[in-house]
Amino acid sequence: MANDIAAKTAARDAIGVEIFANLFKAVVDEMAWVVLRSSHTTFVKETQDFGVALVTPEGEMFAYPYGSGATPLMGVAMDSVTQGIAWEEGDVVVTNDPYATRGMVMHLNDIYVFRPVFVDGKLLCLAWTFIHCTDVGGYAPGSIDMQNSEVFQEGLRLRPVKLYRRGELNEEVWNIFADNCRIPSLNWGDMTACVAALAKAETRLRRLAERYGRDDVAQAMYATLDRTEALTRAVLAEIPQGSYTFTEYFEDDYISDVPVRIVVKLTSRGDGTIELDYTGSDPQVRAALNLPTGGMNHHPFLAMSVVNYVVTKSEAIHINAGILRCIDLVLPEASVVNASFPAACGMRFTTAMRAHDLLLGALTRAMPGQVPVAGSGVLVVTYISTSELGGAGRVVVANPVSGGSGASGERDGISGTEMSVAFLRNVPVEVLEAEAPVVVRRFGLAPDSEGPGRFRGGFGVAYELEIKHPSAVVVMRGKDRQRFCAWGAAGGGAGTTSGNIGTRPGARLSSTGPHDIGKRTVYRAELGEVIRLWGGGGGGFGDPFERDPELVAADVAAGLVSPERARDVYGVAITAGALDTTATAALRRRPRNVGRDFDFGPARSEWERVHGLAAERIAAWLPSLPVAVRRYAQATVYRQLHEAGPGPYRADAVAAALAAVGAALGQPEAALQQAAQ
Amino acid sequence: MTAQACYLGTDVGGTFTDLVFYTASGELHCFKVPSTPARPGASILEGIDEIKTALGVDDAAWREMVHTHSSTVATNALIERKGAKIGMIVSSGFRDLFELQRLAIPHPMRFDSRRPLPLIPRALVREVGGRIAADGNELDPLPEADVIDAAQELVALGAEIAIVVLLHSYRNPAHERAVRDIIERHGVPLRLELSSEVWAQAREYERGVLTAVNASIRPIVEGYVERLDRGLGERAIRTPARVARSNGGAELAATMRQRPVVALLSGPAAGVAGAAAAAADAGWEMADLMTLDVGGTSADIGVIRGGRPVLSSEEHIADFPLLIPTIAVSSIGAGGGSILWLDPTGSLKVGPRSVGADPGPACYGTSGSRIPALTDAFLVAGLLAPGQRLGGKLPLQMQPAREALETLAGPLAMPVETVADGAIRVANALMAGEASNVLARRGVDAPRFRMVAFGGAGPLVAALLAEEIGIDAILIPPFPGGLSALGAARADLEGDLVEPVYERLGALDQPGLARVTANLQARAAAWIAEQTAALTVTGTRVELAADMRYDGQGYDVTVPLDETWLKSGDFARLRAAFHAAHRAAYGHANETAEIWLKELRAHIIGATPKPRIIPLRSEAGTASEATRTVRLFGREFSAGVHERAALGIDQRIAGPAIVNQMDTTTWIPEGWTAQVVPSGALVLERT
Repeated sequence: MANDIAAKTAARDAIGVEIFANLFKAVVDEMAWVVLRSSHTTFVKETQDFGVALVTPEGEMFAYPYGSGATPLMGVAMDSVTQGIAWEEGDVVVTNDPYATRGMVMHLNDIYVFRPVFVDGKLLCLAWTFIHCTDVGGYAPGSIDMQNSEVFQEGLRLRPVKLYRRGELNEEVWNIFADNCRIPSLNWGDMTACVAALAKAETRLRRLAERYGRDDVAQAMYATLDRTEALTRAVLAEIPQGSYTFTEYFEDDYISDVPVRIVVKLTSRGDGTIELDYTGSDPQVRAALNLPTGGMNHHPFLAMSVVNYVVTKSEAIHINAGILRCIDLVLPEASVVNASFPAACGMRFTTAMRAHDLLLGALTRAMPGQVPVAGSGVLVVTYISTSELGGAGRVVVANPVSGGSGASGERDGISGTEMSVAFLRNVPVEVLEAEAPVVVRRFGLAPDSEGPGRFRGGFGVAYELEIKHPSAVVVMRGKDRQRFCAWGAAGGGAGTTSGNIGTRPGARLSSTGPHDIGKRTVYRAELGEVIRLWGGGGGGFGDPFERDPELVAADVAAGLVSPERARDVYGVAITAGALDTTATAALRRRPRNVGRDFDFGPARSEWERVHGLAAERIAAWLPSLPVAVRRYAQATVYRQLHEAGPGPYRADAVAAALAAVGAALGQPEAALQQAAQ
Repeated sequence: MTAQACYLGTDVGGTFTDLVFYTASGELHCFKVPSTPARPGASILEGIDEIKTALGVDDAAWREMVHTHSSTVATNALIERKGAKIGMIVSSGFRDLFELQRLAIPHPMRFDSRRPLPLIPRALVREVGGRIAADGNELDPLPEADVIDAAQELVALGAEIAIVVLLHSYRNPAHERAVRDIIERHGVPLRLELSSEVWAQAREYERGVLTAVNASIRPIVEGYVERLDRGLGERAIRTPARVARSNGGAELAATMRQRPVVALLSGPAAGVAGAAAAAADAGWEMADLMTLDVGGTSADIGVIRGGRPVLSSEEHIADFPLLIPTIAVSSIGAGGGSILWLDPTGSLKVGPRSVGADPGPACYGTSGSRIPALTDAFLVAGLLAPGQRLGGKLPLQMQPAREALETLAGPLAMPVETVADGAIRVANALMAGEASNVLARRGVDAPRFRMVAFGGAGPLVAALLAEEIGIDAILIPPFPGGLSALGAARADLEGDLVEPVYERLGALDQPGLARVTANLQARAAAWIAEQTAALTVTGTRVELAADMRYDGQGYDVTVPLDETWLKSGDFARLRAAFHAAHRAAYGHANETAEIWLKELRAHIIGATPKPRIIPLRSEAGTASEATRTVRLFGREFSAGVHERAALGIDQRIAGPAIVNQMDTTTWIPEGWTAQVVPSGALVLERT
């Protein structure tokens, strides 16, 4: 029977591809459940920060689960490991090193685990899992501190190494790792879950090969990728041909006030492929924001919202790396989107989030309303660490605190989560308080935080945590958007900013009030101190005066929009708690300035008014400098400009500053001349 | 009919209501009447009248008939969001419990994915101060004024019922009870449901959802139970109604109506319980089984381990979590109505959209529809025959089915037969994919399991699916269409209770543990006493277990425990039991780690009399009368066609073959044999 089926199931035809794609998906779904069922840490169990896939020997993911685990890693190229190891049956290779894997791994907390699948003594494909390890050593509990400047501070690094060789555990490898992290036994629990999932994949694929024949299964891996690529092209061909540019920022780089600028030129070639040219994006920074993408031609972290656009628009697409084949990248060297060794990269996901919204901006320029506008742009992952207590202590994830997502031309944004992190779940208060010495005082939406619009952004959230142990350290990583905020489009408004404050027990009694915690990652709170973190609202889309008044009234009734805001921002009158249609009509007739463009919020608008021209000139000049001095040179130019006056900075002033800084760095005259133009 | 004990089971579905009736001698009769969605319960009464007339049951036996009812009444009420206006009172700072849910959205890669609409809108949620800590101690007292304000505001907004969900109330319900006392004392007209009384377990969102579901379906379930009680009274049936529960057991309708959430998934649960019973009848005792129930729009998959349906506390309904122990049944989106279509690259796709009951597959011929569905492919491939009737519907027509498949055959440049074959194989791969997913979620390794297939299309696809996921034996019960009703009729009384502990074992002492255990046992005894006051049981037992985890671990393992260990404070045995259970489930244990005991559980069973069901027909087998050509996997098979009623016990049929019966068709592929076993079930085995 088996051979009959094999003979008749042509792997590459309209029926065969569909059959195999479903059978491959069965394998990855099963792997995902094995990880989820048997992993140990809350980060994997509750927040679902793990992944599984099947990978061709050339390093392309051909099967990825749709419904479980972390979605953003889908499609990352794995040839650095799949092609770089002398595989033997029963091997298990682990690595967490971004620089040895050319940007496959992107921070040390992600442990990637591989196992080769051999059929009849020949390598068929590889099975892969990753888990986010809560702690891999390093300076900060949880290993990630925004202010880390080198990867050495971020924990133990393992280049691809055989944890199992031909089925035998190499305990020495594990012991090195275990001795250099804060929660070795929990990490081992997660690792065994990964190893079990990989073994399951091998069993299942061998069965498939037995039933359908090894060669057909092998062909089907590539056919599945090709089909997805073809389907992706059909979707991307709908993006009007042309180039669309957009700019996004981190408002600072944690060590200076100079924003980190990321720019993209999205070119729709009209054949169903697009190019994302990140030229002009800022040099890598001395903070944990760098994204080590190894200069790859395709990378999911710099294409996330385009991938999600394809998935949204294509019913029943089989999700695999075939999508990424249609999205080409151009990446400047040693930049924040293509960092070089040994740049710190612990919080590189913040950069991916920024790239997510950056691409949404470019897509909004290409086809307004077809994609969401910017979300809050933050994800502050909050931990409570009592690791100082030694054996009794631990590191517990409290909550991922994000904000609202952006609206589109079709629907409102989501409250309390971002599109780019919408796979993350919160930790129940009743679970957290049993495990960590804290009391959660609030986890709720922030009224009036949404970017207004015909479709409004999602509301931001506030999270309040009271500290109940003198040895508890609060780790809050990924902060940004405390000045800049989510942008709106087509007349829709910007969202609100994010932030964090602490209120000490004494401050509640006296009148000193709360104090700003700023951007510190590791914070030692006082016993009884209440920390409040909040994430801003998402951007709006379309003119708020065109929003259905009933929807505005519903938000007022829900306590999410104040009657004053309804009146002033939406032109909707609420009288005695109900919609007043007559007064609303009158309000909406008032003459006003209707913006139809992007609203970037006050802080970004002001920065660009003053520094817009300078930023362009500096970006054009930096590539003429050695990699190592670029960020320094950039900061120095801004400092000189600031010392000269408040701006806006004109071309001559910028040229003079470039010349002075260039000369101080020993730059040749010719390059200076060129920059001055 | 002579006066002997008789038993009735019913299952109210969306279209039809199934009824099964048998007596102590085990003779089984099945009936089917149209459902009455506008008057839930009325169809049961109509069916009962039909049985009385058809079988002429003795009046004395009729009065004492044991009758049990499963239904989708509560499920439908929840999905359609028909119910009373409900408010919610929560702890200060958590007004958005239902807005934020668990943060994640159902499809995180899709820009158009959103969380389900909250069961209670934010406008009807009020906060009150006061706070209980994780250890049950009071951190802040409950301000009475907050409670009065909240209640009065909710009443002013039109709420008739409010649920109360305060943090850590599972551990210490004092504040939730105080809320009720204050509101009663001030005479505010608001009916309350306390989360700590619906299900006292940690996880505020999940417990809150359970409480909200309970409150929202209660009015509809009460109407259903009252209509049923009244009708039964009019028919002089004296035995109190039993209803099937989501845990596969049954309880008195009179007590279920207080907490209807326990019966939310009773229909599918009774089906799995019925499958377990059918397997045991056929001699598959203590078996590990997957159940497959394929209907028009979906396929339901359940798991039976060691002969007992697997219960889970992580089930969902309409995207809402169900924290309460429920027979784990997962729906996958492939049924006879699944639409066949081509994606832009020309790949053949099956579902997830369905043609639904109207217009139905093209082969029904009821409308001019030429939208191809999986049933059309079954017909064209020869697995079904023209003129055959599915589930009491119109006879199938070949011509519309072929025309519908032509819409795909043209663009694919393939013959219609090849498209039909391909669609069945794609559907099978899809089902295999989704089935592996749900089985893996339950920790099931499919090749080690056997299958029970039922529902209209279950036996048709069972062997194809089994081959794909590596299962070698399939059981088709004697009455595949009435399995939920039979499962309900044969259910034991079964209840679940939970008692919070939430301590490290090292922090517990013998008196404390003994006290909690005694408390749980007293509640269990009270439950069974209430249930058996008017119903006969042949025995009762209480199974104790605990949810335990290693310190810092992200999940619990439910460990069966001996009462004496708990009462004598034998912590060594408790630890050993947990390490063993953890090792059994996950392959490893950490003998040096501290262990948390989260809650104690009691599963209470009141066993009811179970006459052995005898097959209706056991005459000698007749030979196959005809053959039909079936085209699958690019080959043509000449399949013998058999009538199930004509098959004798122990008669063996070699595939390829087709077995027809009133409510289903069974496909036996090449390489399989089928045999009718003494219980009347058909057993398929791969040779």
